[in-house]
Order: sequence, then structure tokens, then C-alpha cells
Amino acid sequence: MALPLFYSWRNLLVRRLSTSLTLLLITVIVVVLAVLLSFAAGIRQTLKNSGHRDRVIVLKPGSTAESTSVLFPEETNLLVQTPGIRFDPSGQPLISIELCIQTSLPRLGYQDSFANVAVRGVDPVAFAIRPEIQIVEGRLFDSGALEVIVGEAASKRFGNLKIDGEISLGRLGNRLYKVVGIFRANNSSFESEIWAPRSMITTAYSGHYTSSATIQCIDESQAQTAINYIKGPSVKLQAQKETDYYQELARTTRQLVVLSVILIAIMGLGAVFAMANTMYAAVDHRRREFAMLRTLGFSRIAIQLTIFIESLLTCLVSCIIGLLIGSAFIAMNIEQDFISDVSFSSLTYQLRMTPTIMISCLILACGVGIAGALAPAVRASRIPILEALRKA
Amino acid sequence: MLYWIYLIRNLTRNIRRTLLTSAAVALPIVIFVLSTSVISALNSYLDNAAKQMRLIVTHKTSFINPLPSGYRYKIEALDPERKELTAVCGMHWLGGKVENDPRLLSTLAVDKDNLEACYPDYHFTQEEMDAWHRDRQAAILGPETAKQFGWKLGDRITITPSLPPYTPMEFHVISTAEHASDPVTSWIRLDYYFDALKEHGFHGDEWIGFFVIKCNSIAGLDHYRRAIDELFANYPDPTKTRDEKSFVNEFIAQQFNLPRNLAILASLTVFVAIMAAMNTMSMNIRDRINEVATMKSLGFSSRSVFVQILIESMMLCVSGGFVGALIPYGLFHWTPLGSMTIPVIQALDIPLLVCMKAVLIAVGIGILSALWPAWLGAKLNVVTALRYLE
Amino acid sequence: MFIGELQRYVTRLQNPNNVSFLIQKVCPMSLANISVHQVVKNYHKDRIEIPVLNGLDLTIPAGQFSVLMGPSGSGKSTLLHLIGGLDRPTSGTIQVGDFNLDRMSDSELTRWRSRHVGFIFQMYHLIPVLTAAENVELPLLLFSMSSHERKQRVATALQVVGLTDRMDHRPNQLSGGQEQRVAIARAIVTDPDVILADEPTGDLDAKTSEEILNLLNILNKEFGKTILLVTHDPRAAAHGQRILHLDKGILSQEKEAVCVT
Repeated sequence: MALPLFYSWRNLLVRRLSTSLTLLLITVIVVVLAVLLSFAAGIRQTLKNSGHRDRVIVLKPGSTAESTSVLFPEETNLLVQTPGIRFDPSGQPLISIELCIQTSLPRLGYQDSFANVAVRGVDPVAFAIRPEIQIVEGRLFDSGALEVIVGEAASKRFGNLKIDGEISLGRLGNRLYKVVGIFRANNSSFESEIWAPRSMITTAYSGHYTSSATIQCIDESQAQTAINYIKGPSVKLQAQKETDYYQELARTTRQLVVLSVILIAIMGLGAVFAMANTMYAAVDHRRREFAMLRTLGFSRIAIQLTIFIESLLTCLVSCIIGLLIGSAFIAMNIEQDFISDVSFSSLTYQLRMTPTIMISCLILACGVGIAGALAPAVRASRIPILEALRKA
Repeated sequence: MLYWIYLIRNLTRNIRRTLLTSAAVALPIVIFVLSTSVISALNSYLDNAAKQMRLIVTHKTSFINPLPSGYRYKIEALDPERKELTAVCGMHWLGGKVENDPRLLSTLAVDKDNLEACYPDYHFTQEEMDAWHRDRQAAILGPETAKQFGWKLGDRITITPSLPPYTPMEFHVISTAEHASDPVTSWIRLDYYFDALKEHGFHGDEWIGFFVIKCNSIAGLDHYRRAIDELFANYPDPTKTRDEKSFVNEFIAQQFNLPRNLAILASLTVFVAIMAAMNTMSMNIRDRINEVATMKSLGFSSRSVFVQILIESMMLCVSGGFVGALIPYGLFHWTPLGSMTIPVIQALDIPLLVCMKAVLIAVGIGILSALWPAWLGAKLNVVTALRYLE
Repeated sequence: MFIGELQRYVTRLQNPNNVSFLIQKVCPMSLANISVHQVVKNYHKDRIEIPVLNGLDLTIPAGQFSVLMGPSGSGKSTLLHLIGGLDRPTSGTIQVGDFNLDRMSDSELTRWRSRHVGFIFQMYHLIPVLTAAENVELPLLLFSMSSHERKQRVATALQVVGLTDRMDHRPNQLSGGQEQRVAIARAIVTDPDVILADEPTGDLDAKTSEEILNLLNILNKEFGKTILLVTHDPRAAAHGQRILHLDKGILSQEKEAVCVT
């Protein structure tokens, strides 16, 4: 026989100040957890969206990212022989040779702060490999012109990247490139980039080299075959599935998550103590009441349960409010960028509220609720009935 | 005396509650101390960077674009007598990896002749510099990097650069730069690197990553910051010159805006501690309402009741604050945790000053959290309170 | 046992060093005449005004032991609180000694209370974390006084109530009667002119009540304290020189004072 829920609820309302202070405290911790995790989730999601299992990215062995990789034509030419490669209807192999450079652009909303934005020189085949690229404003660049298209996230985050804006690129001579289109790419990291015709970029940088090659394979298992071939003696280049490559770039976020969890664990433990304090006081104030309930025939378990429910109710309300505030904060600060310590280029991402985060917050709140109510609940169930009834 | 006895006994009358509250205040203070220490580490790093009067010259388009290595002589020619411009040192970022190890290194190839002149704050010894000049394969390791990879003085190490020629290169550890302000970055000789490039068929010695310029006066620093950019404004490769502090700051701002976000986190922890302490103080006063009424009927003024509750709360929070400051201080000074590597800032030092600040903050938490309960106590109507109790 | 203590008081009274602070004012011309004039007191409850005292007049000459009786809710405690300066009348004046209470600010009232009034409550209201001696010392914190003098006063006050041997005990180690005696010691340690006792025996058995009331008689007779005792126990009332009845805000007198001196 359990006590009704409204009994717990009304008791929470009786000690309004104590309940609201505890509630507020846990809410703050939930908000902090949600926001901290939303950074990592945002970066991860962006990088996850960038990679596909059936695409292979080829870099120079020893390089850590596209920005530090240098491939020469004699090396990329060997890739045409790669087994498992997919061909387009006209019989061309789907290999996109790309050049990645970077340019310094002002970060919008900051004074005197510049970001290193990636510029990718591509051939038309790049769009065949990456159907997720969709022009949402303006048009595609003309492959013989000094024109670029800009990822939507980059255009929101960095200066001069609106349609008809001009950016200067190139090592020899300050060439001005005109922004002619804005593209979306399934919220992937490509949206943080500027894309330009490869020929116009290579000449601007006086180089004959490129940075990477992306190969569209027939399927995932064929991708593995392709990787083995490229790593083998005939090509001797570094190859990995796109998914693995972007996962490696997301490594920083792992540290961020670990750090967040440590911070929240410490603060959560503090919240457990605060909750225990509140519940102990509640139990002490209601000694007579519990003794009376016991004489009425409620079991020890029922008494314990009602303490747990009071604590959990507080935490659940905190969790809901915390998630609402967290979501509001995330919605207000959605566009973020950070500079990768691997590629040295800025990655624009969106703070994200994901189901995992919600569940993490729920676990945190319930954990605090249960741990904080444990000792007080035991105490409540052990109140000596007669003594408690006698004493005021 | 009796007054203090009373205050202390008030805290010990519900030991469990006092301990729980102290702990609930202490733990957020732990985070406060940690995050403030990180901020202070970043700031002291930046302050040192500012004090050293160094300029960083990079390509205007992006710091990742290289500059012609000949720029060094053009910059040196701006002040041929070395009156204000002490030294120019070319640097090239190599990154680097060790075989079968996923960790990334931060390695710079630098002009051998001017390194010491640009970094007097590293206090290289004569022997170290002799070895540096004698040995083409010399490497000066960041102390943190040396510790992480277990490299010692005299070791022969093999690093594969993340840039051309991408082939393993052997180095001899001649120093682990104990006084380095940047504990991670390691230095090798540029001439050795350029030879390696040539050996593998890369043309590269005409390009270099960036230049570090050491000035000997603030005026000189300001002058050359502009002068260098003006000099190269019409060259094919224009430059962007910043002092070291702004250069580093640009990175930090893009690493999750660490100082600002940590400051927000620190203030939230203070808020959490206030909530916990306020809860306890309001419960304490509620439990003792008859005593407050008695005190007032004895002739204690509202103000003295107010002050008494404030002091009680301050003692409660300071005990928590003290423990909360002591935990990270102790952990990072007296246990192996001190040598742990932490993302972004690497080694974390917990300054005593930050701990003392935390205790002061705890006093503030005590005051803020008790204001409301103390006001309730002070304005308590004795008659109503007595009536309610009887 | 209590008779023996009584005799000891009297012998102690011969020793002026011991209770000097208490006998300074042993004179029939004590300052604290209490005069209550046309006092009206209303309470507000849920916006309804409830009249408690309705134009009450009362004079208690200095040094008198008066007893106030009446059914619960008749306004006895209210009157006591008004005289003690814990509460203010809706209208009317209250004068205690030279002090016109309704002309004093809250802080003046607080200060006045600490020097001129001693309260004794039914529930004793001792501070549980302090020992008997510390509880008695508490009001002396409001005086600038050497700690030596404080200790002496505390010792004397505890002697008067006969609890010297219990001075280091905490309230929860004392019986109800002992607790009330500590409360009385606390009330007299500041040497007030007036002692206001609100049902001091309400929670005690008959024998202990008798002891407490005898103690009040001693304070009245030997130390010249003006005492106003609120009770609904006729046996307790018998200890007073004058019995007043309060019912529905109207005061009637039952027993006139017998001249003490």
C-alpha cells in the first residue's frame, strides 16, 4: 500500500522555499550539463554528417589532415586503377582530386578576431560524389571564373561571405573571388567551407600539387578493398573511410565530454548533499506524521517510497526546467565555430540538443534525487513510532 | 566569548546538516578553483607573452600560408644596427607523430642562430646552446611533451613530420626547456629540415611558415608591428603582424572561448553554492524561530540578530570554501595528479592566490545566502512567534 | 528542601558583596510604576479586525506582585506583551517607570527591554545549545561589562534560583522546574525593574509550580521587583498581592494589595 502521489506533491508545496532552492540548484546543474554536452554533440554531429562509409579519403602518409597533406599528380594518377571504384554513367571514375587551402576571415560578432576558413578547390566530379551539396541561393561557380560558393554556416559566421561578396585568395597576386552561391550540405563540415573551381585555385597558389582525393566506392565492403589497394605497394598513400577520418577530427570532443562529465560529477555530488539536507529536514519536521502513518498501517517501504518520490519529483521538475532553459540557450547561441587542432581550419557547428543529452540530464537528475533521498528515507522509516507520537 | 560559543554551537547542533552543507558548498568551490586556475594560467601565459615584446609575422591570407624565407633579411634591414629590433627568427610548423602513436606533436623548425636571442625568457644554458649549434639534429623538447612521451636528455628520437617530406627524421634531445612558457612545443633546426626536404625531392627552402621578431622596447614593438606590414603591403605575399599575445589569443578565442566560458562556469558554481547554503540557513532559522524570538525578547536588537545569522552563515560557508580550496590545492600539489596533462592548457597549476580568492568568495557566498534568512529573523515579530509556538 | 534554600537566601542577603547588584534597588520607591491608559489592541486576521483589548486602564504600583487571570483568548498575554514592549497598542498609552513606551522607537524599546524587563515564559525558551550558566549570561552580552563581573552576576542569579550545582548542564539535562528556574535567573540577571511571567507554571506539576511561585515571591519581597504574572491557575494566583480578572477586554479586580513593607 503506497501513499498517493499528491501527498508527496503537497508536501513539496508546503516547504516552498526549501523546495524551490533545491530545485533551482539542480536546474543550474542540468543546464550546465546540457550546454556542455551540446558543444560536443554539435561538433560530432557535424563531423558525422560529413563522412560516408562508402567514400574513401586519400592523403599523404604522415599527414594528419587535408590541410597538411600534399599529393602530386603522379600519385593521384595511380588512383584511377583502384578496385571497387564507382563510375558515373559516362564511364568516368568517381574520384575527386581536391586542394585544401585556408584564408583568414573576420569572425562576425567579434572584434578583431579572425578565423581560418577552409577553401576547397574542386572539379565538377566532387558534386557527383557529394549529392548532399545543394545550392540554396545563387548558382554554382563557373569552373573557368574567379568565383566561389560558400557553405551556409560559413556565410553566417564569417565576414564577406554573402552573395556578391568578394574575398581575396591566392599567393601570387591578390586575386579577388566573387561569391556567387550559398550551399547546404546536410549540416556537415563542408558547410563551414568555401568551394572554388580547382583550376582557379591551383593557379592562384602556383602549385601543381593537391591535398586529397575522395573516392566513391561501390559499397562499404568495396571501400575496404580500395583502402587496402591504396595503402599497398602500388600506390603507397594513406587511405581511410571518410567516417573514420572525421571521427578522428572529432577526437577533441571526447576530451570535452570527459571534462564535462568530471565537472558535472563534482557538482552533482554537491547537489546530492544539498538534496540530502533538504530531505533530512523534511523528515525531521514530520516525525510525528510518519509515526502516525505507521500506526495507520503504512509500511516502512511506503514511508521510504514517499520520501523518494518527493525527492524525485523535485529533480524531475528541475530536469524539465533545466532542459527548457538549456534548449533556449542553445537556440540563442546556435552558431559556433572552433579551430581544430588537427586541421587548423575553423569548423562551424551548431549547438545541439540531442536525445542522448536529454537522457544524460535525466539520469543526472534522477541520480541526484535517489542518492540524496537514500539516507533520509531510511531514517524516516526507522522513526520509533511511540516516541515520535509522544514528543512534539 | 559567549557570543562566539553560541555561534559555534549553533553550527554543531545539527552536525549532519552542517557537514552536508559544507560539502555542498565545497564541491562547487572545487570547480570554481579549477576553472579560475585555468583562466589564471591562460592569463599568465598571455601576460608573459606580452612582456616578452615579440611580434609574430604571418601571411596576411592565413597563418597557414607560408612566407618567402627571404623576408627575414628584409625585416632585419629595417633596423640594421639592432637598436630596437633585436632578432628575427624564421619558424616552420611541422606537427609530427611518433610511429604507432596517435598523439600529435607540436614541433617547430626554427632558425638556429636567433632562437636564443628571441627567447631569452627560456634561459637556455651555455651547454644547451653549444649542443644546439653543434648538432644539426638537435631537438629542444617542450617539458610537457618530454614527460608525456618519456623522452630524456640525450635520447635519440624519431619523429615523422605532418608536412613534406612526411618521412621519419631522427633527432637528438639536447634540452627539455625547463623554463618554457609553452610547455608543449618542441624545436628543431630549420637547416636540418630543409636538407631533409631537398633529400626527398621537395623544393621548399624558399618558403617558411612565419617569423618571430624580438624587440627591446614597447615603442619598437608598436613601430615594427606597423612597419613590417607596410613594407610587404605591395609584395605578392603581404604579411600580418601581431604581438604574441594577440596571436595566442586568437587561438584561445576559437577554442570554445575558454576564458569567457570558464568564467561563466565559475560564477554558476558560486550560484549553486549560494542556493545550497541559503537552503540550510533558512532551515536553520526556521528550526530556531523560538530562539530568535527569545533573543529578541531579551533585548537583542534586530540588527544583532541579523548580524548573528550572517556570521553563522559565513562560518558555515568559509569552512566549505576552505575545504573546497584545499582539495584541488592538495591534489595538484601533493599527489601525482599535479603531473597530469589536461586538454588545451596541458599542466595545471593551482595558485595559492586563487585558493585564497575562493575562500573570500565563500565569505561572500555566506553573506549572500544568509541575507534572506537573516532578514526574516530580524523582522520576526516576537509576539507572533511566541503565540505560534505556544 | 526548598525551605532550606530559602533560609540560605536570607543569610546571603546579609552579605552585601554577594547580591549587591540585586539589592541596590530594594526600596519601596522603585521606579517602575506601570500605568496602562485607554489601551486598545486589535488584531488582524484574514482582513478581519479582531478587538482584543478595548480601552483598558490599569495601574500597577512599583513593587507589587499582581496576577492577571482570565480565560484563554481574553487578551492576558497581549497585555503582558504590550507592557513588556514586545508589541504596540493600537491606541492608548503605556508608561513603565519613567518610560512612555508608545513614544519610543523600536530600537529604543529593544534597549529598554534589555535593561528594565525580565520575561519568563511557559515554555522556558532556553537556548538548547547553551549551558544553564551560558543561558543566564546571554542577556548580559548587551551590557558593557567585564567578563569577571558577568560571571559574578551569573553566579549570583543562579544562587538566587538555587541552581549553582547545575550551571554546566544543558537544558535537555534539566527537569522542567530546573529549566524554569534557569529562565528566572536569566530574567533577573540584568536586574530589571519589572518581571513579566506568562504562565510560568503552565507546564509544571503542582509541587514544582509551588517552588517557582515561591521564588517569584522572594524576588518580589526581597528584591522589590514589580511582578505581573499571567495564569489561569487559581492556586498560582493566590501568591499575588492583587488579582485581576480579564474577560472580553474588561478588567475587574478581586483582591486588593496588602502593603508589603
